[in-house]
Amino acid sequence: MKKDFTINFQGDSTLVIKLGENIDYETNKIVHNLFNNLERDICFQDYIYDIYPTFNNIVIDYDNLLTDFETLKADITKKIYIYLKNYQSDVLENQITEIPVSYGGLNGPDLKKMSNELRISEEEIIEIHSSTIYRIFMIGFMPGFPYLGGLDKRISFPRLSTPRIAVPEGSVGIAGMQTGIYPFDSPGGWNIIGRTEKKLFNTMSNPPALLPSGSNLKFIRI
Amino acid sequence: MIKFLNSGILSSFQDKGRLRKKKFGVSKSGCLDPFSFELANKLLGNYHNEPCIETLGGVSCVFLEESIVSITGPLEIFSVNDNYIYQTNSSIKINSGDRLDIPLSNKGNIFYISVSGGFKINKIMDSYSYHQPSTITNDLKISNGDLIKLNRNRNLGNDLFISDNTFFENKIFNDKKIKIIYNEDINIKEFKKKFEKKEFIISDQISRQGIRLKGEPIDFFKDQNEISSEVSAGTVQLPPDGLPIILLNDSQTTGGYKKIGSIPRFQLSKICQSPISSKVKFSEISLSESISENRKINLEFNNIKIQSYTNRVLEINGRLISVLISQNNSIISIADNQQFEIIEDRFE
Repeated sequence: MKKDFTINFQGDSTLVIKLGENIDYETNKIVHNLFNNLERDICFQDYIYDIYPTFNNIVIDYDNLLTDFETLKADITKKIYIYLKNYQSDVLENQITEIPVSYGGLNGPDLKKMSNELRISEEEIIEIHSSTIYRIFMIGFMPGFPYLGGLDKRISFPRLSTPRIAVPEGSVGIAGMQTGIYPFDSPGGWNIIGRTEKKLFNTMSNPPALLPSGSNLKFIRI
Repeated sequence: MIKFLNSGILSSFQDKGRLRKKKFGVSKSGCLDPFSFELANKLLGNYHNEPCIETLGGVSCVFLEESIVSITGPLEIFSVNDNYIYQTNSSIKINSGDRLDIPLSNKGNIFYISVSGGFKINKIMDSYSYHQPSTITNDLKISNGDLIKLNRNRNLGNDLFISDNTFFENKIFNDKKIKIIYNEDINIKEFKKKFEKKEFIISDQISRQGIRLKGEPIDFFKDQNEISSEVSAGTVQLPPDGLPIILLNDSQTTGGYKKIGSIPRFQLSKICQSPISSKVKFSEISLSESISENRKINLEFNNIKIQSYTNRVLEINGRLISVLISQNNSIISIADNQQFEIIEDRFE
């Protein structure tokens, strides 16, 4: 596998491995593949505070009393060349988690408005939304929240002009070209089209987040 | 057990933070002022990462059993049962039934309370740190009326300790300069010059997630269209409104605003202890300078002088005066319930 990357610092305790500039499937797949290798190999070193993937980067927070940027950069560079040389696609890439969703009505208070304004029937919006396989690009924003890629352009819809004070846990929403699930009750400006009973985050589970970053998700209509 | 009559402002348990959970969207959390946090445990001979109570003050609590307690943070006085006056950065003996009051401070923001042997609480995802923006760690938040148990294996020896405050005065409370390590893509002379000329003010929009600065906006990066990406404690964002945000321990794990750089690790305590309305002016520091400064400051912290003391309370003209006396019988400080004066600061 050939892939260009750069390693930069962000402050004195974070190292960023940049594998691309944009949000795209290919880059994000490589991010997760290299992340899984790197995490396995270095995450229990005492100087590693954290290691995590984003859309296009792998990020390492480290203790600068125990190591420094240049040493870490040299070590990581060597490791990444080895991973790229022995590159094999990941099982996670094809894993799909199914999320049962009750669409519309009280569970999806914005579905009707979207249907009217988009001139697409509620049925059809549900059909489009639940027939796509979404990639989980990363988990962020709040504990367990998946950044999903793959929303069909036809059902893209702008965020509410005034956010709601409370959106219930499990709400499934659309904002611009993004779709997502609220892991907790929280304020929010997404258009809510349905709701799932699945718990996205549980501190007692291992791992605590239901959805693994780098895998896929499909909404199932119930 | 301790009963919280008044839980104070933003009081919660904190340790050094929750590691290796960002891939689940969980930020590090942890104590905002690691130096004061660590001193609280050091004064008691506790494990260095023993969870402490972090608070902005306004706390009033009653101890239902005896304990040795340490209070650290802004250089203030606090009282036990309204008549024993102590100063922060010391350990004190508390008897069963005693009431401890911690004030609000205008010299700094954050206090730590630790007890000998530690609090008896449960870990959540490998840490005792409360995460303010979510509900996942609500058991680690302190509310009015809460009863908190203490661990049993505690040392109730008679020795009480007080720390020399020179380090805290010089490095945290009186140092006015804020350093920034610019990101590599912000190597733009014109921007740095413009940015470092501005004086910002710490607004009242502060939380464990971050500090919003106010002042005259900086108009430089137009058409922001950033992909959400990594942020951590100390990251400085410049949103389209041109007013910087300094992210702190409970920030989101990823953010979408333009990032210009980071506050060095050795100044995170300082920025968190800066009171609302204080002035902030940034100046550049290189990565290597920042790391060597961090090592120097940590060494200095590890060598802080700590000495044992006794507290005598005198009644003079109906006024209670508290005198702290060191091992060799010199007077360390004199205080009434309004103010204290340090007499002996030569810790030899």
